[in-house]
Amino acid sequence: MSDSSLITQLTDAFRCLPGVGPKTAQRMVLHLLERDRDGGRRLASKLALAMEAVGNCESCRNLTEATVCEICCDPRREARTLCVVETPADVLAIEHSGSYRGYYFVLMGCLSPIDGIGPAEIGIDALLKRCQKSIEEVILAVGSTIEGEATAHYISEVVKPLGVQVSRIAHGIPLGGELEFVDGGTLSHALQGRKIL
Amino acid sequence: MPESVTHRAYILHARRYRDTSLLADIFTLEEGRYSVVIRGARGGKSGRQGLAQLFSPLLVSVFGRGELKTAGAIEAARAGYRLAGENLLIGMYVNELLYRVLGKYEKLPHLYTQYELLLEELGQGHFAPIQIRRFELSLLASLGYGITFDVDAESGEPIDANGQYHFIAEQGFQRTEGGINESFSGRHLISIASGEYGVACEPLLKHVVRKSLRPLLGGKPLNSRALFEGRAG
Ligand SMILES: [Zn+2]
Repeated sequence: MSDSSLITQLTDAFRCLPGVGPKTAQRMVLHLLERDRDGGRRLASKLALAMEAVGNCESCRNLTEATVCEICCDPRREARTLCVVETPADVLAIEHSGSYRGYYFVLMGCLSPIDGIGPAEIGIDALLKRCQKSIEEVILAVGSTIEGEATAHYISEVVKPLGVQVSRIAHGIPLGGELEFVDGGTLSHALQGRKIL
Repeated sequence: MPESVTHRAYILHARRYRDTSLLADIFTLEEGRYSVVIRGARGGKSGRQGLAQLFSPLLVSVFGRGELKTAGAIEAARAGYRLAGENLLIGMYVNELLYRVLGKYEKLPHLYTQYELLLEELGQGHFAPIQIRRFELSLLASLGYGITFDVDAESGEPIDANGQYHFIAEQGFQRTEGGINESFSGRHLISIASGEYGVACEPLLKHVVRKSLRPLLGGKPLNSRALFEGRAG
């Protein structure tokens, strides 16, 4: 196999996937070539299609090939709440929990000035526009990293003047978790977010 | 095991690197700013992920000789400063500023101490524009762009309390007969020179600091400015 052979090129191409190093990439390539040419062709054609057709929902910015995504189009959802998340994976996680029936807004990241991610990049204008349509509560479901905290603060500052209530999901002890194994930061968050019984 | 040294450090910025590591820009007491790969800083097992946060005083054991060093271990020097609300955005601004203007391996122990003091103020929830200006002034001074507030840069005369002055970046204050926008009273300059930063000096300091930082930023404005634009406060 020369360095520029298709096999080498394909192996290199697979390495753009997270968690895929040279060994894994090679195993994937050999698997497709030796045992699953049909699977490989299907992968190639779907990849090409998706890379061209999938964009962002006009309303919530989640990934979709439609102008407006399925969730945003669903009239049975709770129209007054908007859950703000960082990534499309967060939408899936909350959907799978089955505990939320409102709409979403996907920031596609969180504020990080050094990386050039500011209010424009996380879609603040689109969020403010979205809030003006029947939304009464914005639930901030962003991460508890420093960048997540900063993003939550910024959003609450720009959304509150619209007369929309802003809440933040609780951070704390995992279900079934034992206190002694929880780190100090999480514990102090959990204490601050305590509830009167 | 290669030999390692331990530095006191703050993370200015970090991004994901490979699967479980972070590529961090750190500001250290001992060696100034440099880049380091922090292994195992992400992903559950090592328990290091909660540590590698902005605004947390760290002890970082680094090894490697090249441009990019590796952190073998990181430890919390003590509890991190808990910046909240607006002060969190200010902290991000300060980090971006340091990230943009500090050269690599420039030893700036005094500035490190000033940074720590500022984080302490911000962590206590004080909203302190004057503290930020003070920090920016000591940043400029550390980099050799210190501003003289009590001498007329043109004539070499002491500043006259009754005079009006305007500011030229990299030169200093010069007397003006008025008619120029952005002129400042000599009285305020003298009070700043003596370490008295009253509220009345805020616009002056802001103007002077911005103008002085501009050449250091190479014409590209700080991205964090966008966090404060178009909002009250
Ligand atoms: Zn949508």
